[in-house]
Amino acid sequence: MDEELRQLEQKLRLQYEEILRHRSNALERTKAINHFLILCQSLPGLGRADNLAYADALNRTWIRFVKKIDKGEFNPNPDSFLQSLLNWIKSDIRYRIIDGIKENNPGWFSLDNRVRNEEDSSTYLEQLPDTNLSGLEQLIELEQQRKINRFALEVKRYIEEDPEGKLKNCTPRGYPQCNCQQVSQRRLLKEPPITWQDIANEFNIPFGSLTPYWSRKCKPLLQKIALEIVQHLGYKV
Amino acid sequence: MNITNLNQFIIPLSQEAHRYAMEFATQQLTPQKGKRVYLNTLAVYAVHTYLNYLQIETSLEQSDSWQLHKQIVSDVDLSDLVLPGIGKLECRPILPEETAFNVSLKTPEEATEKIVGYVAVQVDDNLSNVDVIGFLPATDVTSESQQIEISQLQPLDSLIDYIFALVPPKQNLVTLSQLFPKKADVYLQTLAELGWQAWEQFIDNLTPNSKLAFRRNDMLQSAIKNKTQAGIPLVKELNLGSQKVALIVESILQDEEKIGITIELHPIGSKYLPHPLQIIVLDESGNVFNEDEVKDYTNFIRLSPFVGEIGDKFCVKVVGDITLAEYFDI
Repeated sequence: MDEELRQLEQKLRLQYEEILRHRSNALERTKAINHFLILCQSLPGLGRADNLAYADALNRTWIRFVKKIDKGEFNPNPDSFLQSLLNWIKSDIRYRIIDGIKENNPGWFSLDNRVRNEEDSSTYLEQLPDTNLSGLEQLIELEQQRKINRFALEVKRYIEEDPEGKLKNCTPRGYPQCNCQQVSQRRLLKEPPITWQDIANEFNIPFGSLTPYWSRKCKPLLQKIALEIVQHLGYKV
Repeated sequence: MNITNLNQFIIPLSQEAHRYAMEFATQQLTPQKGKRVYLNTLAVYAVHTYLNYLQIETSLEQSDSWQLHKQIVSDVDLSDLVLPGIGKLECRPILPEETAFNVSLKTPEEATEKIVGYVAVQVDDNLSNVDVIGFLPATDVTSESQQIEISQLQPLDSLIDYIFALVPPKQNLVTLSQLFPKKADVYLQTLAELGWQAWEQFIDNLTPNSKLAFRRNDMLQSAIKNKTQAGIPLVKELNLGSQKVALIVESILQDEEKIGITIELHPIGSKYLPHPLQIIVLDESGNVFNEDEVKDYTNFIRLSPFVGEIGDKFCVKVVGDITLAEYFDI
């Protein structure tokens, strides 16, 4: 074992003792577990995941590992602490990967979906290394096009058409020239949103009256309408 | 022990995290907002995952960030995570080139639940992992809108401290007023599960060895005689590692609203309390209002009595080799 790993083993061992020492003190114990897991993450293969299946498995393994410690079921061999630790974690990860494969149900958005509905089209997962953070907007747009996002479309249409006149009727006290439909169009449908100051100037209403009106009257009304649309579509997250 | 980088917790982003993020992002009114929602969702999910590793309960379902109908009509980013019974954390994604993030105080009508603080989540370019890097308590945000540099963040230990300070573990909470009405016997049974005993019971349950040692302890002997008549003493054995001690909390009913409280600490199996040892009593906000310490050979400690009213909460901490805390309300 090289020197660096030996030092890490020593740190892990001490930190594990720290967890055991605080058996009856939840706060200190939680902090000790936090430190212990952070140390574990510096072990080869236990830090950053390089694919989704491994990330899934690693997540589940950490949760199971903490539970195991909690129940006093993790009993590492004192002579080879690091080896016992690695054996348990790595073996558990393997099982969790198998679980993941078994459970894998497509549905919703899956990164394994093909970008276009053609056999030879690449999957989102294949695209992910290229469409990283900088390509995220594009990826979302692709998905927005692939799938009809009925909810967003309905909400947008409601704001634009105001079919029940509820938005137009919602005005700040004393300023009938301004209403919820106009403010929503400027705050929600424009990107970037029109600034509050510009809206205040446009409708000749004090800034100090506008934002409280938005949060007290408009937002609750819009949330209620959006909720009705969600329920009407039977949409579930 | 010198551990470096204890302030960064890697969270591998699972397929589920990306699924939620994409699901929410596609249901927004503009693609730009979609991108922000995607990243906010990853940040919230990462903090949820992190706290679940640590067995701290979170509720995505109760969070505004998880409600499509709130998200779609919000002109500001929603990135809250509800910790049931505690409050909310605002989870802020930080992009690779960023060194700061903005926080703005919510207006009272927007803040439906107490905001405990802000958790910063560093996003890397390939979106496979994120790092939970630090915490800023809400009390540090003073102006309406404020920019927070990463260097101002407190370590994750501080996040854990704040969460625990806000949740006196309910299962350990002793309600002193329940000792007085007729249901006291039933309540004593509940307390027994938490390790608390009535005085007489405690004496009976001592092991023969402890009893012997305890008989030699004149101070504790005299303590018994004084109890029983005055009020209702509860006793809990605390294992401080090197030695056991008895924490005695005696309640005396003053009137319907008030209870007088005396707190004592006695050694078990030894004539002296271990030292150094400190006992402190904190109020609900964490302020110390009563304390004492053992510097050398001491038989027992009795804190100056105090009176609590219905609804008051306090915590007794015993700080030795190990720190133990017990929670009470009146």
